[in-house]
Amino acid sequence: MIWDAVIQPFADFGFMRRALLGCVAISVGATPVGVFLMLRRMSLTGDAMAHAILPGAAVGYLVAGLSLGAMTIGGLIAGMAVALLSGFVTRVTALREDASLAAFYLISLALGVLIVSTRGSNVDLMHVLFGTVLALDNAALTLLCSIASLSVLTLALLFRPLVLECADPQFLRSVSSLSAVTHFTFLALVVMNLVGGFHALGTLMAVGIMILPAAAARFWAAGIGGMIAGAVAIAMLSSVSGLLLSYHYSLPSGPAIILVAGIFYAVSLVFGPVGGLVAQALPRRHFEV
Amino acid sequence: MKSNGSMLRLLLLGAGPRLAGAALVVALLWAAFLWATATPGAL
Repeated sequence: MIWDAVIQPFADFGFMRRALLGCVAISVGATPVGVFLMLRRMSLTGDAMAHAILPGAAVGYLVAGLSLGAMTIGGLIAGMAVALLSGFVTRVTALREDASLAAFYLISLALGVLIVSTRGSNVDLMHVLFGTVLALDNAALTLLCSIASLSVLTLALLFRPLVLECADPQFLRSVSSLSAVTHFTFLALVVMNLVGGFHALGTLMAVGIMILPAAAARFWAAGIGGMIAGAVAIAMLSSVSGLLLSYHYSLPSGPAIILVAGIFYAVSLVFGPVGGLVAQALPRRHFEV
Repeated sequence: MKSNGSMLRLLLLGAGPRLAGAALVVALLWAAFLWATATPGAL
């Protein structure tokens, strides 16, 4: 029974194994980045960046069709351009960063959809917006695993500066020249992981596997290490459950994975011991904060 | 105020064990890659 429901789809079908590996790579690479995005109060920035990569990917599509390399390079250039442009506008004008980022991502999204629509069909547009996790080939999997490897190693190396930048960025800026390096490396990691996630889950869903598990893990762990471990575990469980739901009930895979992550978030919100609704409603011991 | 060099050392404290753990995760990921791509199956 359990074999038929849980193991057999992955044992029998290569495309399910590939989808699982793609999702595991995204969980390992993108979810820890999502934890730092959340701690830096940049969750919506991640969402905006996910939309911002669309015109670059669309230009790559226009030039070379559904080519992995062209769409990846286009997405990377567009994402980094929007991140740097919105930062530049914030520094030289009176506009705040959230407003300039919102302006740039809306322009990017509209431009991307327009470019894809002029040459491609609705199927191509759906591929770009929602990804094709069940059709990941060797090249796409190599890209996803490479991005995940680079992310994990970079986060391990820059863990302390990143934590310090979450807690007190001005202190880090005042004591070390690592502040700028940390900030731009982190932005590059965000864009890279969104571009990788975009191949599997599409531009609209890629940020979901980055932020939802991180937000859910926030209710289970107080420390950053525990939060990262919890977020990766939740992302992997969501991926397996979403793929199985998609297989057994013929549901679209990307939305199924993100919806399961959403269910984990809702359960954590209610029952999580660290600031969850039930934990807050229960009477606390005297002197407990 | 500490010098820039000693601050850098403080900021990178514990990076070695963390990198070793990260390398293990990366090795497992690529082992999974070999398992998943050993048989054809992409649509």
